[in-house]
Amino acid sequence: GGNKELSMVLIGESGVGKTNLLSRFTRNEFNHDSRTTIGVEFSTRTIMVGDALVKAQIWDTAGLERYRAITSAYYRGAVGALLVFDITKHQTYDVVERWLKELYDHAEATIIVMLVGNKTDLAQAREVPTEEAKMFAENNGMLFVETSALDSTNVEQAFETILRGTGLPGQDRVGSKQKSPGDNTVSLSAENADGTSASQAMKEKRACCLNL
Amino acid sequence: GERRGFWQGWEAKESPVSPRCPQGSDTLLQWTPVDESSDSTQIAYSKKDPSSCPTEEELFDPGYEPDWAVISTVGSRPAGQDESQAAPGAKAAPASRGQWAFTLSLAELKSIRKSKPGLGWSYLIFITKDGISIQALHFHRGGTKALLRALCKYVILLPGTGWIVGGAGIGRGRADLGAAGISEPWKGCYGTVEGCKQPCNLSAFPQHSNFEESQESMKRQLVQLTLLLRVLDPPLCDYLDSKESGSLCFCFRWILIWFKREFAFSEVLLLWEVLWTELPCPNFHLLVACAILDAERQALMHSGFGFNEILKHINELTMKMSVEEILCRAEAIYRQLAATPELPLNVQELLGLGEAKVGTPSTDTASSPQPLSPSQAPELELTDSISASQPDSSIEILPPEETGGPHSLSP
Repeated sequence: GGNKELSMVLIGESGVGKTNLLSRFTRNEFNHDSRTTIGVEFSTRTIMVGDALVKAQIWDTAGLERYRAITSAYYRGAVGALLVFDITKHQTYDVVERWLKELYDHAEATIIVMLVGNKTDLAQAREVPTEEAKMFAENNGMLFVETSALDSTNVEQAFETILRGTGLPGQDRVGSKQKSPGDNTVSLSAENADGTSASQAMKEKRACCLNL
Repeated sequence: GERRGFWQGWEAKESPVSPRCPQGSDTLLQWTPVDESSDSTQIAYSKKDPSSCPTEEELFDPGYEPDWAVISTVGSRPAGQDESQAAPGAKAAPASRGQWAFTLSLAELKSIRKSKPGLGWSYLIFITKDGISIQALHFHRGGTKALLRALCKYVILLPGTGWIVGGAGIGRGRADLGAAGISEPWKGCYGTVEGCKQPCNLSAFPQHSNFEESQESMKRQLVQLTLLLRVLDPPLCDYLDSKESGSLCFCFRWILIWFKREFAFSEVLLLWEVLWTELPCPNFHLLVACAILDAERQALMHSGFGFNEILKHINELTMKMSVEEILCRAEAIYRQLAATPELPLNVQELLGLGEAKVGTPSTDTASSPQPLSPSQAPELELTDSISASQPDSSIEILPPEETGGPHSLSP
């Protein structure tokens, strides 16, 4: 297959881990000391999708309003978006709807959006229940996954699901906002090959923590 | 004599000079992990007076416990990037109580990063002036405040932006700022950690207004930059316009934090010292931006870069430029503009030129950027004239030994 370029964007509140999700995906790096993103940054990674090489151009945007430049420019041509929140900070989940609106105001109508609850490694500090976020994603036509950029959980899957689900002929455009809400939201955590979903694992972890 | 004080886990050392006037002193932080076999609820705190005799000893519970298990078991770092090893710049403590012990000179400390409140546990990360992050120090039951409060004796935390002024050169930093006509911007910044969290006057640093929620100041400066570039290099402007990049939003980071991320730390200090002087002109930072764009115009225009590639190229200039070269280029641009007859009035005002024309009604340069016709805009061939201006540069480039930086700022 030929070389295809796809562009996607990371959005969400400041400090939820967008930059580390991106560096984990593109360079397999995690930085405890990552700096606040100013304006927009940019990374690429080429992956195989089927027998085609897909070059993903991923925009990492500033979460802080005062660190954002001209926002709409970032969204141009993006086929997919990861809307990231921090499972240990309910406030970052509360504003997901606002980010979704911003995305839909500026992005193309066909953009695929995945809601990403990051920082599952901090299970003991969880403030946003998996089921609640998953339900919200379903009701708003988004895919959903929980990730940890720190321990790599589901990071590849999050990006690759977007990249696989977009722009390739014959593929269902899962998660596209054109679909009626809830009809085919895919939860990655339910699809893990080993049969143990990440969300189940999280629940077990939490139960374990609660028992302490 | 040596005066020392330590918490279990932390040990602060300093040579015999008074705290907060540590010029010439070398205050050391020594981290030693808690001895797991000891009773961690009883923490010793002691101070030694200059004659090294213990004069005070008390027991108290600072309420924290370093927890390395979190970082060493959760992480999955690639081999060779083990952050748990003491970073270069931090020497392993000789009689270490474990492999995690390290010693760090406060003179080398650039900034401290603190985990956000709300986590189940918190951590601190110390960053040296070489940009090296010491491994995260984890605290399971609080204690970061106590530690930061202790550190406030030796360094000055500049909140809001995460900047720190500290180490052995506070005195010099203060003097430099005074010379630039700036009154102690950190007033009220030190003392308690709670105090450190309060917003404080950062007017000495990249314009406080840059950080306003409305971004009005940022938008105005980008417009002003466009105005200058239009005068200086219409073909480049036309090219950027054709790539939907005419807004110069890719220069946002430069303007917001005054090129803080574009140069090495010592070079940033040099650049800021120049900018604080407002010499050779006000808004010189915009000419610095023009200088970088001028240096990169070939790459931007002749590589067929589009919107994405332009932004990527500009972002990736970080740490690849020479601040001295850029400053010389910027000054050359200033001199050419200053020598240009019939420079548009708004450009004159922006750069404080043409002050002889007192009484000229002032127009708002920000809100009325007039695209200039080619006849109005003297097209300057910058590239060839840069080196010529270098010898008679009026910008004093400080020798490297003086730029090693007392005040350390890190947004």
